[in-house]
Amino acid sequence: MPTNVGSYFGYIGLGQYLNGIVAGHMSTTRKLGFVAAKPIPQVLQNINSYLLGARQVDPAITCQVIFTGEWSLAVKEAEATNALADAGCDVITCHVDGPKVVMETAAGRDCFVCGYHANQTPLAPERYLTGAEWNWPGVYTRMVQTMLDGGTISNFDRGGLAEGYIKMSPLGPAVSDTARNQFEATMADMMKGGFAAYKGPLLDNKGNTILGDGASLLETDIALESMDYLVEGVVGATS
Amino acid sequence: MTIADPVDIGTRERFSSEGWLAWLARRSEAVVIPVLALLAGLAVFGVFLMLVGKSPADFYGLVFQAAYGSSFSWQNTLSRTGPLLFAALCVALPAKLGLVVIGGEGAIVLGGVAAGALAAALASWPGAIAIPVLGLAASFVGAVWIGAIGWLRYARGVNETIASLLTAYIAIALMNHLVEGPFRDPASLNKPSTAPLAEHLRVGNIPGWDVHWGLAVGVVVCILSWLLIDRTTWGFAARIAGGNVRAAEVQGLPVGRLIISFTALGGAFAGLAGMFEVTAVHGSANASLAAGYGYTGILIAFLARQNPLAIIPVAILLAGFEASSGLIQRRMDLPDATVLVLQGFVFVAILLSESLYGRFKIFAPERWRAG
Repeated sequence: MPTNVGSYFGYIGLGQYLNGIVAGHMSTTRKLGFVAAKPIPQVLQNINSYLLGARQVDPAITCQVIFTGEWSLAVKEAEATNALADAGCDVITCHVDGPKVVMETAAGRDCFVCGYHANQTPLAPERYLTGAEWNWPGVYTRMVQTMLDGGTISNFDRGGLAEGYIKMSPLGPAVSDTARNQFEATMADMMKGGFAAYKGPLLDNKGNTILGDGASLLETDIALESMDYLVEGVVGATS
Repeated sequence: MTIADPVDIGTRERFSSEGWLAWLARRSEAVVIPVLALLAGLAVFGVFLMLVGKSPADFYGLVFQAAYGSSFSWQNTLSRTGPLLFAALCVALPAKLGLVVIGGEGAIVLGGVAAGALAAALASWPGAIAIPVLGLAASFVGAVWIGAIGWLRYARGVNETIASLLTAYIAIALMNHLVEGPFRDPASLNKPSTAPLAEHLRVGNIPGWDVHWGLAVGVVVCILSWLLIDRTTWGFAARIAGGNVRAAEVQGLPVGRLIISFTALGGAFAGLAGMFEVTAVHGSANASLAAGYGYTGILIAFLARQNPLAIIPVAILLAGFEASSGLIQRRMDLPDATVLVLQGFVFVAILLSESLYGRFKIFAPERWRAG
């Protein structure tokens, strides 16, 4: 990467993986829902991670995704959420600019919700399970402190839970003990570093092989940042 | 609402024949009323600010500082002015025929996509030839897009305001489809775009300025548009058709050709704005093209009373408002939409002021005529 350009980002897909674990435990219909903005790598990674987390609980779980095509389009987000609820999805999450509409609509349809971007507990106190949150204050404080201490900031900075780039919302009141246990165990695993959510054998939802037996993609693998597929079990299409 | 100013027609008396006071009274109405309406809009917005507990003085001070306070802020303002000039012309030219075309945004984004997609094919051409070709291609696409609105109006009686607004949504959807599908550069990951433009196809800055050539071209086309409307028979015919279509037809003026050519010309300018956004600003065509310039252009054209020369200062003013958005957010803790709300207040004030023309005796030249 040229030195006059910088990039920093967090492995928030891991947060969606943890969302998926709790969702997998709490779903009774075995169908999850995802309201997504655009089929770009960042969003696809969140969708796939959410399903792969849930499949740690039950490999038969599926996740239906609806793309709204825009980052912020409240009406379409509400329609998509209702459509997912109508299709029998009972734990819904999203990746759009403002999760408010999805959270409130889904909770209003008696679905559980997993948050994104920030803590949305106040929007649905009873139905909110957990959420994948950015922790930008932590990131910026660390960067500024590094500069104050005379250090330099890498122009390619990445991090997950352990580095304080992301964090999880407190678990909601509905979350069962078995869900809590697996959630906390997986989180402890991630904190050690070198976590791989993507492990072979892995197919995309058109039947193409993504990872062969024994292959895996670590959270840090740059290949994840050019993802262009939905994994097997995701109901939906990128185009 | 009166779009074309009927006073424009047949009032070419020079002040030598009527005395300078009468001349001044006649000419000042079109300046004083919009300026007062602008100030009224700003004042009402000030009350709105006070209601949310913010100081209007601080607000307008910051807007001034962010828009015109330093060479950096002038650069920020002027680089937004270029596309606004084109976008405003896309409203003002059809307005001369009494048409309210508000879908310039569609021509901007499609012009941009045309330039971005064509640039990949022209990468081996020298810049001096390829850049004008890109401009022509973008203008052509814009002209077809808005010209079709004019044709629908003339041939099928379709309301041009609704049609242009709705086709703008179609244009944006089409742009998203094209840059995410057929024209997508596979290397563009989280921001689907056409392939990056070759360096020699990029439009640079005006020498000595930190502002790209789009601004200069925009000023030139504003002046040319004014000449077209004010100094040619074609423009005169358009103004007559704008004043009264029936009368124009009785006179044997080619109303259909006038409508289609003025809407197409406006669309061509909007398409050119998209070409400059791609070649000078973004370096490829992507969803950033839909930045709302087309909609701000509507406000500018109305504030400028559809006069291409007045568009230049008004565009600089409105570009300043937009340039101040970031500073307003940082320093006053006001949301991003604040500047849009401000523009809305100004727009409503301008629309209301349309009913004031001819109401004030002070502007009547008879009152001031010598003798």
